This record gives sequence, structure tokens and C-alpha cells, in this order.
Amino acid sequence: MILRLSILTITSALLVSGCSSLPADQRSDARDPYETSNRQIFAFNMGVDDAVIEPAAKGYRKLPEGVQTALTNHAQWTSHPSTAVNSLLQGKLENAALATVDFLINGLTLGLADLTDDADDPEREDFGQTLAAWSLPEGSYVVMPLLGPGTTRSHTGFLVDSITNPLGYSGVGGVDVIRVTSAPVSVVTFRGNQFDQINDIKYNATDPYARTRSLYFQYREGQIIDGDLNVSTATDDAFDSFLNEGN
Amino acid sequence: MVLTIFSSFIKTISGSVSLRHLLLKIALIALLVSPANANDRVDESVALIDRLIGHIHMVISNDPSEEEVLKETNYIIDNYFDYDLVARFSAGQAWRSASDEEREAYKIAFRQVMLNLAKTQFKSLATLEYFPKQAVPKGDRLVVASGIIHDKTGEFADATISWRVSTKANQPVKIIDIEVENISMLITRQQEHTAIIQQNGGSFQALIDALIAQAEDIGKSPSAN
Repeated sequence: MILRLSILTITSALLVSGCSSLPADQRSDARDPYETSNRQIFAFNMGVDDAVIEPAAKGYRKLPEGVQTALTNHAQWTSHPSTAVNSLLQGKLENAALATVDFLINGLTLGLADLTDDADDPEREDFGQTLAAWSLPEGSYVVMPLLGPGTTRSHTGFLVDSITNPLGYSGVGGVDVIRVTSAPVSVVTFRGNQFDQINDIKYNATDPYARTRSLYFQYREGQIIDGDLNVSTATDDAFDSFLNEGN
Repeated sequence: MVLTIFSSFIKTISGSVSLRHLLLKIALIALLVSPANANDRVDESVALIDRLIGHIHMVISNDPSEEEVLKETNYIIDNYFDYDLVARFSAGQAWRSASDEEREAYKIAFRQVMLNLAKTQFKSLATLEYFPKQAVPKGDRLVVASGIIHDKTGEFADATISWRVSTKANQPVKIIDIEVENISMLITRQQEHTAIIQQNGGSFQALIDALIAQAEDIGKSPSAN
């Protein structure tokens, strides 16, 4: 059901955005050729956040701390299969092993408890990052209804991860419950854990759409380079060219 | 160093020193001097951040009033940051075509946003500790120093923070950007400001108005209350 919804959403959004590409000189960011339709979808998503997600996140924050931790653990646990596969595809063998071990051990509690209690948690890896590691261009910025911001590369990665996640194919007993609940639980725990930061964008930014886009690109680049200070980033390039212009 | 090279150059012209000798001398000077300069720039940048952290802790320990927070934030902006560079960068390409009056108005409005943010958030820094980790030169004029921010209350997870320090020759080192978990404050501002100008038909004044409105709104929003 969630998988079908993802495919439908991604396909329809790509079709909509394909019809409304802006000329380069009218874009506020060169990577965002569909800004007009993206802004409309962003406004829709903000409406959904007002009506459903923010109230649910408020409720989540009122839960006892132990319950919040258990839900956050569960959301992380459901992403471990994808992390293991994508770490392997990127040659990050240690991370793949960590994700596999954590998934198997914490699977005893459906991921609610972190039985490994290990400071060295696996780094989240998805197929979008794998495509980046394989030097595939990131494509255009596209905001998806309900799914939020991304690029054509990251949305493609999300789709592949949704299809290949083994939890999506397990239809017996408790695992069926996981398939149905994992996406909403992930959304609410993410929104609850980032409550102040997201509200800061929503209520304090002069242009919440532009700020979200900027944060998305920077955060995503940080994930792709694994925070390595020695790797040159787009931010480094921007400062370099600024200083080279004689500033 | 410049004088040495210059006098060698003159001697080369006059024929008393061979060109090979001069090139060898330049290469030796470059080998001996450049690494030390790079290290000096890194050390100066790390020391600047240490002083800033010390300064912030000193201010917080004195339980400052709102007016004192504003005064100290102004001091910090002027003494630890290259505010002129920060303002120019954050305005994006539109800075070039803006008039002097618009530039001045922008600098005032942007500073007011930072001051009002500091007013509401300065004291939340009290529970944070900074542990420096690494500092690397990025090109000739920048050093990026990074460390970990740790919240003593345990409410927030540890976060990586990086300071981008301008190290222009013959000028004091100054901070121009802060990155938290790879999110640059200045890049975020620049991209947001560029979008505001673009959405308002290229009007720089629209950005100034938006910043004035934002400065007035800080402290009134649901998340800040």
C-alpha cells in the first residue's frame, strides 16, 4: 500500500514538474527548474504538516521518554536492511556488517530496544547515496507530495529502497504490522525529534521554501561525503569563488 | 622575503646572479616559508575560536541582562567575525548591483536579525561545551576548524560544528561562517535571500523589508515562545 502510494506520488509529481520547467534566468537556484510547481507542492505539504504531522509530533513529544526512544529505535531499525545493502554496494563493509548485526539482534524486540547499546551505530545509507557514490548526477530538485524535498536521484533511490526493503515483502504475523506502521512512525518520530528545528523554518524563515531547499542540499551533501572535512564541498566552492572575485 | 626576491631579480637583470640560482632561491623560500605560514594560519584560527568560546562563557557566567547580551553580541560580531564579508556573501549576487544606501540598510537589517536571535537564544548556550577536533586550510584564504558541541544536560545529541575562518594576508583572522552538521549558516542565508529577491522581481529593497519584518517577528513565533 505504502509502496504503491510512493510510486504513484513520485510518478505523478515528475509528470507535473515536467510540464513547468523555468528558464535558467528565472530560477532562484539553478538546481530548481520546477520551482513554481515545487512551491505549490511545498505549500500543500505545509498544510498537511499543520493539520496532521505537527499535532501528531506534539503528541509524540508528550509520551514518556522511554516510549519516544523505543519508537525512534524502531524507525532506525526498519532502515537497517537498506543501509546494509547500500553500504555493501558502496564498499563500506564495516557499516554493512554493523547494520546487519544491529538488525538481527534488535530484531528480537522488533527494533524497539537497542540491545547492542553500542556507541558505534551504523551510518544511514540509502540507494540515492549509492547512486551518488557511483557518480550519477543528482538531477533536478523536486518536492514530492507528502514525501517532501529531494532530487530526481534521491527520489529514485527512495523508490528502489522501498521496492528492495525485505520488510516490504514479509506478510506474516507481526512483520505485516511493521510494513503498515513503519512509514507513519518514521515520519512522526522524525518530526518530533526535529520539532524546534522544523518549526524554526516553518515560522521564522523569511522564505521557508528556499530555506528548506538550501538545508536539503547541504544536509544531503553531508550524508554523501560522510562529514569528511578533507573532501571539498559545494560550500567550499562557493566560498572559494566568492573570495576569488576579489572580496 | 619580497625584498630578497626583488634584490635577486635586480641582480639577475644586471647579470651578477644566474637565473637558475634565482629560481632555486625562490623554490627554497617557498618550501621553507609556505608550510609555516599555513600552520600559523591554522593556529591563529584555532586560537580565535578558543577566545570566542571563552568570551561567550565569560558573558554567560555573569548572567547578563538583555541589554548586555545585545552589547556583547555586537562586540562579538565586530571583533570575532568579518561582518563586512558576511554581509556581502549573505546578500548573494544582488550585492553588486545594490546602491550604497541599500547595502548600508541591508547591513543594519541583517545585523538586527542576528542581534534579536541572540537576545532569544544566547542563554541557551550555557549548557553547551565545545571540544575542538581538527583544523585544515582550504585554499590560501580560508581555514576550516571543526569540533564537537556537547550538551551537558543530555537533551541534545552531540553535533559537529565547523568554523570557516578568513585568513587573508596581512589582516587579522576572522570568522565568516559557522557550519553545524554540514549546514552552513551563511550559505543557507545567501540562498534564502537570493530566492526572496528573485520572488520579488529582483528587488533588493524587498529583501531589506523582509529582514526588517523578520527582526521584528523574532520572539513572537510559536517555536520561540
